[in-house]
Amino acid sequence: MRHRATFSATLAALLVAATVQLGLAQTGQMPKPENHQTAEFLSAHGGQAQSNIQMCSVCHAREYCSGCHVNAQDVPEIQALNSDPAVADYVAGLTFPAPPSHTLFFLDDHRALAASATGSCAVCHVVEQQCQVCHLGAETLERPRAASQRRDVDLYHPFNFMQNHATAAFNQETECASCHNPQAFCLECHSGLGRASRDLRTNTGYHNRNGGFEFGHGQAARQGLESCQACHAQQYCLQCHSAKLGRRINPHGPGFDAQKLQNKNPAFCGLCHFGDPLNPGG
Amino acid sequence: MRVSGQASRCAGTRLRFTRTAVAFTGVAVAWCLWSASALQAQQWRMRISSRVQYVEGQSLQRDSVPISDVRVTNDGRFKADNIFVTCPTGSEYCYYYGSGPTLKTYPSVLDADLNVFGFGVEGLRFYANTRFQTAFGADENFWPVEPEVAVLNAYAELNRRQYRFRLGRDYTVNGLGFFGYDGGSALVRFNPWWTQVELYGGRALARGIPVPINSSIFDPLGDLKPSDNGWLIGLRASARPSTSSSLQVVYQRQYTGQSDYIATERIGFEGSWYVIPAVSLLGHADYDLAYGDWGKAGLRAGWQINPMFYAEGGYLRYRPVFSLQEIWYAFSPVAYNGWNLSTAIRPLPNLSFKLWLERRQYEETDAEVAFFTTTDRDYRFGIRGTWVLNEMWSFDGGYWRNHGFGAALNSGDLRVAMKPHDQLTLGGRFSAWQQLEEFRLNQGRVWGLGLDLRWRTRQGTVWFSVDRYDHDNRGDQAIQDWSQWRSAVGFSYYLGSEPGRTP
Repeated sequence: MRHRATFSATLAALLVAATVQLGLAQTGQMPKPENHQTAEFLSAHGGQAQSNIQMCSVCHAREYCSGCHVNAQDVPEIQALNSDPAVADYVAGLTFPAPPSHTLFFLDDHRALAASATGSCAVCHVVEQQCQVCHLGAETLERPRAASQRRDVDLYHPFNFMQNHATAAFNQETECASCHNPQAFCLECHSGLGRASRDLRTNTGYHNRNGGFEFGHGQAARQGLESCQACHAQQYCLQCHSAKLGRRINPHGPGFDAQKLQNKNPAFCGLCHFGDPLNPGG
Repeated sequence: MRVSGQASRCAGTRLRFTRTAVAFTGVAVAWCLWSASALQAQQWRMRISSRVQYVEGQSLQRDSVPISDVRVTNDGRFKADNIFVTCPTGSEYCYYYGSGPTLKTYPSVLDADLNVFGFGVEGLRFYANTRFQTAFGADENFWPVEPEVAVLNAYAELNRRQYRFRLGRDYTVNGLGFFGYDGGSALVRFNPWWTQVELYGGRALARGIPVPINSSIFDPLGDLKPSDNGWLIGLRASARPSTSSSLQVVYQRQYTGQSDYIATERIGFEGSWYVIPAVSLLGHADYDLAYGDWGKAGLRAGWQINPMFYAEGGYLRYRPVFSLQEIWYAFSPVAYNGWNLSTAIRPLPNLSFKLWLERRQYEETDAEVAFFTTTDRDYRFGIRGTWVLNEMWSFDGGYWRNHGFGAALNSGDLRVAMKPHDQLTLGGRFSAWQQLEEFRLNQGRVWGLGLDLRWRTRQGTVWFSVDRYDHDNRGDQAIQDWSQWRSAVGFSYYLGSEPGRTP
């Protein structure tokens, strides 16, 4: 009986000692609670934490959550947890699975989710820093690192893009003008390199794949008008297509609703016409 | 006979760049000192990111020859050394573009953003993001650096669970694009459905550049430059009816400086629905109320068939958007419609492939002529593979083609990265491409070989890259020679509270 009590006391002491000495790495190997093992836990644990953060605090310190939640300072539940600086280093070595939505094509597909669920993005992404890498012109070449994968993420424009962007831009792969002003960004460089029209001369032989380009460019222009701006300022086109001067070639296509545009902006017609072209006698 | 040369360089420009360089450094240092001393009472976080590049630009030069020196063949007109020329009707001269001198410059960018918080008022913070850019070297004129000092954001924010207010310079990124303004925004969050409603607006900034639309940067537009700055106003509402679906509607109107004169007016829709976690539907569309036509639209369905296969397909449409302060809508731009198919295959956890195929067709332009036609159909396809061999080695390679109505690209690359240390990455890359540009004749192939280095710590990153490109098989020497060197060195550094919280 006495031996049994001694044995039990010794065992209990050893267990307490082991628990006290348990390293962080070993803590990470403790079995996860059952509800942590469902597929939805990653996206649904926020609600559970909000309802009972004390339960989370049994195993998790604040630094564990801030390993993923870059907006931890804005989440009261995380701030309510105890702090344990040692956990930060431990968490730095962990990898967390990306949400199911983050497929290999997510960079191309993310607009709808990002537009309507910005709160969710901010959990893992510092919007002002990580999003601006792409959405403010990608001027800083620092690559954001995928928190879940511990590897650098490709920038919006792929490797070598500046060298061979012509095709993507001319074929309107995406909307370049959303981030790059054609007049201030594209035309400036193209002009300096002698590629853009620096004077108002036409038929200089630049578009030399077909000798009829000057008089037959209408189809190409209507298909790729956005990319024309990368080399041709508005004055260039008005040499021939203004009703005020020059060759006065009408550029309006079928279905052109001048009345609608004039209703929206009465000054629009005046860019190319003297007076009111819809009411010449008025 | 030379009819055009490179842009001349003048002493005034050089002085401007010298001043900019001094300002560039001075402002950055001053900001650092001010931040460090004045903000001790608050919490703050700052990121400084900079790069200096070496860029060689291969210029083109227009030249001419008397028509009497030109010979006519079935393939066109050529001058004596077999360079293709264009001869305007009635002109005594024929014209051509040839490869000009190599222009060299050192573009430099410094971004600094500052986040100040912890004022004792819940959710109050100040945020500013500034960019300084310039270019050095003998040929700096060809590189776009305007504006040399740009404030991208500068606002005060009060952000709480139910609302968020911002005042200052800000931008909105929504389904209609990326728009900046000097003004403010008010966002309200409420249940049900995690609903958000945001009203934003103010003095509009030009599209794609953080300056007013009447900035001196647009002086080259002459009489077509808007004389007054415009106004932007927008209303955005989003909701998440469930954890697997989201919706957004945004309405945005931009006025010219004159009251009631509209520059742009659009409405956009976004939506996503994860039918089950493995099946998704994503869609977006915007309608141009000013012009009266749909702009961009897309509908994409994705299916994670199993951990190894993912497939998606969809419809897309694109028509560019212009302002009624520009002439472009008068030219009746047309849209293209298309479809695409993509798949991702992950046969092993550390090996993945992406394949994509896309077909596009332009709408009828009613501008085709017998002597000049171009295709109204585009296609593109590609494949990319990534193999993470182990903690140290990873490989990435791809091949893709893009055939459009005026330009085409045939390109591939192969990259290898070695990570001898958790903080250090060394990379090598090899690339090759052929390209047809903007209805121009072209020939040959460009080969590229590059090296890069990246040293990343929790406080920041330092990186360096150098690339060499060689253009061979240029049968016609008038074809632009793409042979060149490019190099870049840069760093990002985070300091202040919680500097380890890098993106």
